[in-house]
Amino acid sequence: METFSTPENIDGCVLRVSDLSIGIDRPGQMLQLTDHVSFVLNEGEIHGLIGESGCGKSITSLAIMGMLPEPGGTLISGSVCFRNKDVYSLDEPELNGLRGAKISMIFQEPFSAMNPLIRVGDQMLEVFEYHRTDFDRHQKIRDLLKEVGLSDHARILNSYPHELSGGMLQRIMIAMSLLLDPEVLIADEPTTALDVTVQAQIMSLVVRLCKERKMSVLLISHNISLMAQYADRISVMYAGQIVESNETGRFLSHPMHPYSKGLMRAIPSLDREDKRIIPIPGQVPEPAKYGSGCRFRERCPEATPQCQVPPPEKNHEQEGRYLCHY
Amino acid sequence: MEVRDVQTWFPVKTGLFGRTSRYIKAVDRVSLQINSGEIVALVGESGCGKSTLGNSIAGLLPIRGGNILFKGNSALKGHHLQREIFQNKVQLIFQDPYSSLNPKHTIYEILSFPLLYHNICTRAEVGEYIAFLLQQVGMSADCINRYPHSFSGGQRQRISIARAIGMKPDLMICDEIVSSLDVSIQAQIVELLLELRNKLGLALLFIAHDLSLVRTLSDRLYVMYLGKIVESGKTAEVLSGPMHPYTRALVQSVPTLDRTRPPVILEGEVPSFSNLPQGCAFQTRCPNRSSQCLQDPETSKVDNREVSCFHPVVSKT
Repeated sequence: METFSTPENIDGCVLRVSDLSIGIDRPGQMLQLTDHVSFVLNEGEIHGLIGESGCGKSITSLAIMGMLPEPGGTLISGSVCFRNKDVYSLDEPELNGLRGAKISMIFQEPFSAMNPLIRVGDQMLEVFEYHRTDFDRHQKIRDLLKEVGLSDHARILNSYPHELSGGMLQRIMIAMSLLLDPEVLIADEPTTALDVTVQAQIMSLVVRLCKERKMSVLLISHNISLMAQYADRISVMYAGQIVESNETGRFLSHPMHPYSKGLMRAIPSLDREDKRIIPIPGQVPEPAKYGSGCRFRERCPEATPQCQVPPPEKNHEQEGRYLCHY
Repeated sequence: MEVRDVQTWFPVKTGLFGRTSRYIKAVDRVSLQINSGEIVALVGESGCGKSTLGNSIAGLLPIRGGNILFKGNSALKGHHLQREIFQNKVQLIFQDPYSSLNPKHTIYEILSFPLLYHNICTRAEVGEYIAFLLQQVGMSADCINRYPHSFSGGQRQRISIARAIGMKPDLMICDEIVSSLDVSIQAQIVELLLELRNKLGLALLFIAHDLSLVRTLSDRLYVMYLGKIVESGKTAEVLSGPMHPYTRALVQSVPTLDRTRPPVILEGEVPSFSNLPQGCAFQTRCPNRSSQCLQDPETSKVDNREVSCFHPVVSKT
């Protein structure tokens, strides 16, 4: 395992994911979905994890909470440490104490994350069911609704999810995730299903809460512009591996990995002079077909025969960490 | 195609006998024009009526008022679109690649059925024509015996595009066709659409909410808010110098790669259709609002730019 001399290694580290390799046990084989994934979340930091579908970002976020898919989800190697405690060494009651309370999560589709048959107020109260609290739960709910910008709490608590808009539901989800004052918030594509004006409102709320509460946020998205605006550090995930990781400003000015460079060319951005985009040819390989060697080589414009050999991880002050021969 | 003052209203039935008490004016007197070989974008946020408009133009919803002209011929009779006027020259592609292809049919069946039904080619020619169509969209011909579920979202959209261009259309209506795809696949599909426009002289009505993508793809742009067009013009001009306060708010909310320009927040929420304010629909959130806005705003036309506002923004952003 590499030790990094980058700012990732300072105290104030809340969550450390080290060489996380997760697999799914399928008949006849173990399908490895992530390969030595490592990153660190510091206090009060927003860490952006960029990746497209199939890269393993969602399973990584579940693994952080000790929620490997069943049946068959396996921790092949590596660890997840929350405040220096290994998540996978905890027993069930300790894990319950962790989930929702220390590490909380919000999802892409607020409508599907909530039970359509139960009023919002009751669903918020449900959060407390597995956790002991010694404060006034109803007051806490009202306080949090106010914190996320929802003032009409009587009406909201009495409503069913379908009676509220996407933006309001996402605010409620955020409020719910904060009820137990977590130290880490995992936000998995939190604004993908929302309109751009609502997205701006929700993201500004998340940033404010993060700074006010010194909470760490793992922001997972395929939207690089979103990361550019809101993340302090960026890690890029491709085919189960972290292919690049750096402080956001440095990443944007000089992305090192060919996939990162490809993504930057393929996405349109209103601020760019040139409106043209250059797609990355081909498709993401399937886990069963990763093979050895660099996983991006089939689509890489800079690939050479050398890329059949697994690429080394490079680690520099300015350029950050990246996985490439060149 | 020319869309003139089209209205698509949904009746709200209440009471014991289901009497219509009022209407949701999802599309309220919308006019737009698409010229041959042009890519026109229709943008707006959810609930603005853009998909309703797309579906109305394609004949999937009854139209309450206005007219639709295709190559100069009126296509509306009463409330219904006379599709024969279109002669299959207007094709529609949908957002969800997972529900727009029949899971029980092979790709061959999906592609051949409309071609044979509408006599686009004979049974003897159809195999070769399908291979040609698949090649046009960057798919290999050996996918014809497979079923939709073995393809990714991006590949399915390519198949849907192949199905549409097989009909040799003059206009394709693309309703949010890349919104559910990964960013790198979105780029591939956009490149494909541009290629098809150049090769086949196809016109496109591209309905979307992603302004950045729309800038890359479209020549002209219409911006919709709560059932009405608030601004239109050449895409580059509208996006670099938006005149309607809503367009400006929209452009400013989009995150870009420029960290020195964070998104500007537009406060408030979209009012519901059943609770529209008197006059301009945007007044509840507009920084330029005045008492004048209680009246329906007039549309001013300057040099192919149209804006419906009493207080348009004049300086460039």
